[in-house]
Amino acid sequence: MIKLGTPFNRFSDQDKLIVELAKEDSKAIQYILKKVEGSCLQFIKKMGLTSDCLEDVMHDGLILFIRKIQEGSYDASLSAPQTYLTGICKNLFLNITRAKRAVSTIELEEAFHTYSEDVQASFYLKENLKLVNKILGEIGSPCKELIQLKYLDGYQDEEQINLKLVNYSSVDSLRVSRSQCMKKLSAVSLKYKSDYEN
Amino acid sequence: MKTEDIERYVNNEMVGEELKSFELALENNVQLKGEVEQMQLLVKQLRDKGLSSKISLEQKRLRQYRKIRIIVYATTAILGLLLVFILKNSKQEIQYPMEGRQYPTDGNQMKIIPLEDSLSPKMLNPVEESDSTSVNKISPPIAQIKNTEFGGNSMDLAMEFYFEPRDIVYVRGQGALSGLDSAKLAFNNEDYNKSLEILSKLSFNKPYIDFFKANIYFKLEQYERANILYSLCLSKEKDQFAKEEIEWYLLLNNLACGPKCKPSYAQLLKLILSNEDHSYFKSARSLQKSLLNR
Repeated sequence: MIKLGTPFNRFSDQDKLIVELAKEDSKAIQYILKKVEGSCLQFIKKMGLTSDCLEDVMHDGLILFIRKIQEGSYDASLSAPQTYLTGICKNLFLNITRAKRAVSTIELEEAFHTYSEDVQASFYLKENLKLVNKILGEIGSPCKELIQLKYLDGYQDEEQINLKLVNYSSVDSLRVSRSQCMKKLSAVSLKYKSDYEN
Repeated sequence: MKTEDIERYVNNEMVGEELKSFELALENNVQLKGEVEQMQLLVKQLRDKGLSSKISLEQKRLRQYRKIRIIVYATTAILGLLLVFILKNSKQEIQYPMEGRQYPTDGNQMKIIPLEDSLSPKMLNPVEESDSTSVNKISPPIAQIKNTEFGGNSMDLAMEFYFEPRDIVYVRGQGALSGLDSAKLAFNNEDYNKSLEILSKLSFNKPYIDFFKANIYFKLEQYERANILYSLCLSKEKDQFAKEEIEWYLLLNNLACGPKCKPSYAQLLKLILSNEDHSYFKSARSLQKSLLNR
């Protein structure tokens, strides 16, 4: 019998969810967002925050969580993915209210990642996302499209050729062109970095 | 070292001997190490951007999903309420005319009909009490409530001459599919209240419905109501044949009605008997004879 929510049910297996999240699978992302939303909403109400920041925090929290899975720093035996992500999000909410004193409200299971670590990572993430938006806008076409296809949309070089997403006949020529673009992008990035540091 | 090689190394696209020689070069070349680190950072930032877009897209989808869910729930709730409302209305009991209450007789008119028995008990002369000390009382007779105006029970006589009009008789074999069929069936089963209830819900062919209702009231011995409806039908009817039919039933109703309706009965009987071509001329004459014989 077909049950409601069938597409998400495969993620009720925790290991499967972790594997798919590591692959940045869209359905797994949707599943965990849905799972964590309720508890986050409850928490922000408790903290007296409005739900405006909910999506932003969950967005940043999930990027940090997926990176932790990919880096291998998340230990599934200590806490479930949903619990761990909720913990990250709670830390980010606490940072918004600057009310770290309310840390007692975080369950022990959720406290395996430190508050400062998450907040700092979230800060760098935000800055980097802004920077990438800027530098991609600056390098212009066709570099922007070449980099976007590979790193933002996640297409393999062979796929781009086969699907005729680019005007290159071979993978090698595509790689050469894109590497030039990466060089350009790196240079622009360094320029912005030095401007920022100065 | 070529930039594309650095990019391939960072993206883990290098294998075998090529990878080994790159790693060897990386150990000995500080500049290359710096370039690789810079590339790793850049790729990480780009990938973060890609993941960010993906998450934003899923969040947008969830928002849309939530909106659709709200719409579906709201629509279901509205439809449910509507269904309850319709069911409630369809089951609502129709208020039938009660004594002294307002009820729709025809069209928009509301009439208050005091439903007194058309056969009012006839007052008898006070009975002289043998005991002179007792006070004289006027009391209605207990069993003498039947109308004997026409030399017997006029109600029985009217019923004797009454045959259900062909148009309101339910024909066996027909399914009681339409409201009208159901009303006819109820009438045939002498379930007059049910028949009235069904007719009250029908809005088409008002004169016909009124005629039907008049016959029901006649059967229910509510002659005043029947009189009103027969008279109304008569005033609206244009077809001569149908008019004559209504006149006949009105005549029977006036007969059953008793002394109150005697003048109109006499007038109507005279009218029918004056016209030999009247569809009910023979019936009227037969009725007259029956009355004279009693």
